[in-house]
Amino acid sequence: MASLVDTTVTGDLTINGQTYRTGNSNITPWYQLNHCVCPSSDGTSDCIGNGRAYLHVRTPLPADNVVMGWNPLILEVVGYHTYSGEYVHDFKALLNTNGYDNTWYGSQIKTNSSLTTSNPYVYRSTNTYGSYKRVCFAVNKISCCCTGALWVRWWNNTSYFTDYPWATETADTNSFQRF
Amino acid sequence: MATLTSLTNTGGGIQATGSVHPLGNNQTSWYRLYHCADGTDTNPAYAGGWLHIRTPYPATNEAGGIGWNPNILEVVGFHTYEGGYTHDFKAILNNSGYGDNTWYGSQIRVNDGNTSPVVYQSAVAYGSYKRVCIAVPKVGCCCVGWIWIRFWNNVGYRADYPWATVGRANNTAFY
Repeated sequence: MASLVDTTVTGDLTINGQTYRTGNSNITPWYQLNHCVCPSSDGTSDCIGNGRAYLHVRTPLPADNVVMGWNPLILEVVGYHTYSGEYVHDFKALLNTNGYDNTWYGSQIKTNSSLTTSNPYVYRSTNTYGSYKRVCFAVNKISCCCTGALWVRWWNNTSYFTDYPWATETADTNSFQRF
Repeated sequence: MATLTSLTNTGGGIQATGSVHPLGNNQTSWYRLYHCADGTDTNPAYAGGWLHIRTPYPATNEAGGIGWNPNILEVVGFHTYEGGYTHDFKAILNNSGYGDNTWYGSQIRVNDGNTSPVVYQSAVAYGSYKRVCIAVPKVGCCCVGWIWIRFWNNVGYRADYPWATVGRANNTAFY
């Protein structure tokens, strides 16, 4: 791995992987996901048309003040589903707003710019994954394996971007804690 | 400092322990600041309900390259633990640069936060130019809270002068 100090690229910079800004900005790269879950752990499948109406995403971000301390951070999600963009997602949530006693303080979506149905809901996983409960969220989707992308990043605590594998599931509601 | 004419990494990603300036897009990197202006907020002058930020950006068409052209200021952030104040807005700057070089008010065109921020031109010059300043509400305490700022266009001024913050009791122009 090359390690450079200050570097200026006078032409284009092409990155086949991702850009980690761990300096002053402290913002993760965007992580891209697909809306298609085939199969879901309950036996349903978007690929055979009996999927569910909500996509649940488990992020690598711990939802536990043992590792996060008291400090809130911002989760940002942008995306769409499906071909006609029936559901468009564009929201920011403030996480860990009750870090002092380690309870999760609800969805905490502070801005939601989508003009379509999106119904985002942010929650802490019921189970632990890799020793910690994780930040999860759910958004509306069509129960088909149709095109649709979702990009996720967070502001602060960038070191947890690869702390645990991402996962997706489907469910009938956004509030049912799928993970 | 290494200068490369172009760079393609064929494998994994790039990690920058400093800032990434996407100048080809004519956007600055996000610059992160803390809401606690004096480190303790024990001084009543700092413990007020507004954070004032002085940016490095000139607020004058005397600065080379700015001329008549507006640019976008974008701000995202929160204060405090429960996120009582959330900032998420874009302002159009320098939209009166055509003739009299007057500053044209706050000009916040997009605001998805729950605050009423103010953007103003500093009253005095810092490093030869008056500078773009911001005031956003905060709780009067030295509590956790971050704010990220970037500019679209005129990226050459991203480090033209040091940033500064101060806590005040109101949003009246301070700098």
